[in-house]
Amino acid sequence: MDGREPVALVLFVSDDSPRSIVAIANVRRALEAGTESDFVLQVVDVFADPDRALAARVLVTPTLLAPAAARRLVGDLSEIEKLQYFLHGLQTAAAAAADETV
Amino acid sequence: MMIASGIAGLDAVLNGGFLTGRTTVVSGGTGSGKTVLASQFLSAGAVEHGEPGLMILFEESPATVAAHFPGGGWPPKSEPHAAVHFIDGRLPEDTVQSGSFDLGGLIAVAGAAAKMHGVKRLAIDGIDAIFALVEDVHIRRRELARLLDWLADSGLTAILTVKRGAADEPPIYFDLAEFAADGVIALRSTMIGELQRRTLHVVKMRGAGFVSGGHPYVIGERGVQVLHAPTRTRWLTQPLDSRLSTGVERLDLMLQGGYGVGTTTLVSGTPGSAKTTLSAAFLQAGLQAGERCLYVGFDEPAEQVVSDAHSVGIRLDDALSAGLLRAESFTAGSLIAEEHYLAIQGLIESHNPSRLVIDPASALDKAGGRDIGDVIRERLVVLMKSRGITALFTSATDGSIPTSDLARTRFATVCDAWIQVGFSSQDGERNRTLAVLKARGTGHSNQIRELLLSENGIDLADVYTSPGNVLSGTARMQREQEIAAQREIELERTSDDLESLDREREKLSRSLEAMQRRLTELADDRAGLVERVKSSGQTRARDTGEIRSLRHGDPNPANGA
Repeated sequence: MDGREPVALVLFVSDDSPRSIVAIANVRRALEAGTESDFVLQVVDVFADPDRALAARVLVTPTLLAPAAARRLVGDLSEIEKLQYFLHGLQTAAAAAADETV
Repeated sequence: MMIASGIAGLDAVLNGGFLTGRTTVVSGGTGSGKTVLASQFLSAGAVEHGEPGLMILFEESPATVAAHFPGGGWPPKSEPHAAVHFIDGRLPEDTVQSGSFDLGGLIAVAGAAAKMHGVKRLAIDGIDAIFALVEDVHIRRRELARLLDWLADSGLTAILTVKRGAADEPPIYFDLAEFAADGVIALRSTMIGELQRRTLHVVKMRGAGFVSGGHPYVIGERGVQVLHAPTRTRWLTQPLDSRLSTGVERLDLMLQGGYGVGTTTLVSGTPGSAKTTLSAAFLQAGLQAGERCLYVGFDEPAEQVVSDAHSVGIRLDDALSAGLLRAESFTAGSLIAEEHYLAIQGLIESHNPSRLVIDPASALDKAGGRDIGDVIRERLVVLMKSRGITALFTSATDGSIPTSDLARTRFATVCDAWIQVGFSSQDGERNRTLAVLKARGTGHSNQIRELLLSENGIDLADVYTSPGNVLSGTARMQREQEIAAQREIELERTSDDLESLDREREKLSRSLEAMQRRLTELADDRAGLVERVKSSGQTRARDTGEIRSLRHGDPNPANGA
């Protein structure tokens, strides 16, 4: 794992709606439970930065986007297993990509 | 304040168009034309009004929609205008959902794109598709309210399309949208036999008037087209006495000059009663005057009609090849009546005729039934009037179907004039007859005429009425001959009388001459007698004197010698 680039994650939320707060909390908890250094999380409020939402075509919030893998998870991430599965998938994909480049 | 909708016919229904700066919800089933309608709205804005548009798609890909995008105006352009922008709102296929979400992103993205491109017109197509993913009904309602609030504040003129389900109802939570939106339009579809009939209903249009009821519409190469009847005030009014020749001299006389300019005449009759020939004569008269003419036929090839007309001396072929006459035929049952209407409207717009024949207009009943046929025919009449076209609608009466004749429907009351052609059977022969049953604004002749077809076209002949029936054909000819014979006899009689009078006169004058001669003779005789008496008196006096002197006695004149 050493020397690998961390996987970038962008969490698009809207305002400070309850769903946004829940989603942020859920994703942070999941990342802390795993190996935190594998992911870099950025939180974007679609109303504060609508152009970024437009560029990423984010129409539902919250959306957790992994730009490199072009994969997304939508919802307040309250189904923790789905979130963990999503993150695990990203790690596997990143590892496979890293192995190919070595 | 209204914004042109870009949908043919809809602005008339909406008294100008969509409400400027407000949201209209358009609901309809699969294939009802929601997306096409939204595309037309954006296209018209971009092409005709220079207003950039934004389309957010939740069901179809931008590529699919763009491929069928109607261009502004006519003919349609194959590619959308550069000023129409698309956002694919569909979630990527591998998107995983975990927990509930909202549509904050949609509002943010729409706002950003609208600002970036200076958008004036917005269409959100198939919004129900994304709402279906929101499991919590309360969240659906709240998100919808939030979207509508934002749209109201945005100043954009927006269309929100939503799919109606199998029960032909919009999703239950959309009652809120229908309540909160300023305009609601429902697209409905029913099957009539194998034909699909579509109608558009304006459910509401806040603060603006609209024409209520179901407006038939079709989806064709020009996108969604709504049939609307122009209001009466926009009809072109013609002077009552301006007439167009019927092409039949004696019919012109019966109608005080011909068909009224801009009026519609119904010609009803049984098959073979010369309805089409009467129509052809009407067209020929127009073509001879250099007028543009249009013939729309049903279930018989236009070429056949032209060649049939030729057999009775009516030449349409030259005008047809010169382009002055346009003749088109349709199979009545192949399209719903509304589509026939639009096809005819399209022909009128491209050919711009002053005379038009629809033959038979009753065939429109095959395309959806009598009620729809009546509606379409009435709309056609209004279309004729709005364009000042003088029209002939024929109606085929099928003796075996009592209701087949338009004459029995309210359509006859819509027409300005009504001519009935038919047959009268007498003494084993059938002869064509023509009667003017109605002619608005004229003191038309009520008499029935016999319609005669020859290689010189149509002529009308007087018919004789005897108590209870009308004489035509051989019976008419017999009556004519009888009358002629009677006249002959009368003439003979008169000349006989004259001759005998002349003879009497001659006789009298001859006897008059004889009597005058006799009178002269008698006068001469008398004069001779008088002379003789005078001279004999003188002789006797002399003789008496001589005897007396001789006898000195008593002279006797008697024995003087």
